[in-house]
Amino acid sequence: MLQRPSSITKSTGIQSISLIDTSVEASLPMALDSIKAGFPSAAEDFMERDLDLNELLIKHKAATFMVKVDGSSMVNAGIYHDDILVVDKSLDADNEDVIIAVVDGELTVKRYVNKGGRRELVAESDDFPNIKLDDIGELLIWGVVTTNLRRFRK
Amino acid sequence: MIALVDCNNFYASCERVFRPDLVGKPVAVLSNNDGCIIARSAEVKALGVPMGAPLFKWRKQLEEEGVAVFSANFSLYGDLSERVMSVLRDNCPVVEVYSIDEAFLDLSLLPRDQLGEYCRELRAMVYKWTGIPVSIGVAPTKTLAKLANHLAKKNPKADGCWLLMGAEHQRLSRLPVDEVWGVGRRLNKRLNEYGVSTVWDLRNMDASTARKLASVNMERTIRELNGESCMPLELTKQPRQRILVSRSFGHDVSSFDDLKAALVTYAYRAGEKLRCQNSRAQSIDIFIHTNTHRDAEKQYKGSVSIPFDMPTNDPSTLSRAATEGLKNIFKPGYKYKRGGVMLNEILPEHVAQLSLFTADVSVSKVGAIMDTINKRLGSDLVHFAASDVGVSWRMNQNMRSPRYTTRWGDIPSAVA
Repeated sequence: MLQRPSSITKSTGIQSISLIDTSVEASLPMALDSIKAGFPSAAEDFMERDLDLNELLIKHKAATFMVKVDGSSMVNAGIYHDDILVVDKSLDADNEDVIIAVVDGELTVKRYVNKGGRRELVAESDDFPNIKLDDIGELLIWGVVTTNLRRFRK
Repeated sequence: MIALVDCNNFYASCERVFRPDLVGKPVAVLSNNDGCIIARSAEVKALGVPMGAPLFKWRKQLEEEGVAVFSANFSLYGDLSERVMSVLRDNCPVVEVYSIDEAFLDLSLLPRDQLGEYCRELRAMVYKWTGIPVSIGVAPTKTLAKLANHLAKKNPKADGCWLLMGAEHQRLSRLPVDEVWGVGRRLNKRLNEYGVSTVWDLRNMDASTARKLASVNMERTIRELNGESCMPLELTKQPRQRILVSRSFGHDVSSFDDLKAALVTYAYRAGEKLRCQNSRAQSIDIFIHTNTHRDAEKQYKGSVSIPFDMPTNDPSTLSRAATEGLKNIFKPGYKYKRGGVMLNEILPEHVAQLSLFTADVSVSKVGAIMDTINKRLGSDLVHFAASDVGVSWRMNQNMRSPRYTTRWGDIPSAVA
């Protein structure tokens, strides 16, 4: 810092004068777009990333698996043979959730109903029976179905 | 405190994730080529089937016992491994992934009285999220954590977790010294002759004796056994200095064209790994040999080392080198059992020098383009024409389970 003669402080209000250390660099991010003359595009401020299906459909990546539907017992829930389900194994099944359960050693898709302690795996079709939990012993929930990927054109 | 999280019978457990009917049933996984057993579920271990058991010897017994046998499905195992590690990383700030099924966790920020509950919850979470059962051993050092993990596995009452806190004389006296990380068969023998037969014995051995009997590393192991942490967690993985791709052939290969096809494919695979770590190699070794176990047949081992004009990871160059190398070492009239390529003197891309005289840019793009196509449409769709001749050498993978998590055509089905 330079010495401040008292005369400067009194008349100019300058607190102090210091030499700038020019050996220190600070890097600034470079603008990626070239600077255009004239008015900037109104859309520029709103430029965002593309819509990402993974972001929408997958909340817990490590626990998310894709499962294909084999059969028609869930048609009333809008789940048809050959649909692809997004299944999240990290979630706890709530009443009315569509879940993948293990029944007779097989992955099975049904609606989970838990009313006042009474639990049942409900088929969403008149042609198929429900599964009462007393009949299968311990209920093994494999995962909760969060999304049905129903494609009209494959 | 350091935790070792280790998946139980990993490959076998992977095969059960989408096959709940196999939980509790004997499951075994075979090596590439279906030669020997490389993973056994607890039920298969209980039948007395040893690790590495050759299939041809045990086939009848496995069939009689109703063992579900699978060819190795590394796409599946790799994917499930990444999921397990991901859950660990979500729940612990410092994770060192040690192998496909093991990871060390730094739990030093966790209060001691919360360690037990944390481990139990972590274990339950990994199983719920991924379907893979793990065991967790916690101790002040990596070496002790490995022992704790072993105790977690061996004691059913442990519920898959074990905290090895103090100098647990009783426990460590009952463990044989070859359970210690770094003590192999030969060292175990030497130690036993010296009167050191349990982990506790080794723990109490003095440094100079350790150095005499084994090595400087043994000294470090003993310090670790005594609670002094000498092995920090390694968080950055070093890129490979050498890349080896080699396989035993499905059955004997005698023709030049078949060998060429195999080696070109290996060269391509090795190139994939090289590009994956943004490196280039300066030389390549090509080798082939006959079945060394068959004493009656004439034996031959041929190998050649080919330096490159400049460091490369270009598939054409590697493939050409494999072919040229083979021309040098091939001898007709032999039954070849194994072949391979090894990339050496590997440099990071930015260090590798560009030649002024060749259009290096366009050549190296071929690799990237091939990789992209193969990734989108499935491996090996685009490959060098040389790879097509004959399929006799390709690995037998008849009994591989579907690639449930990496191929749309293979995703599991749920009955509706």
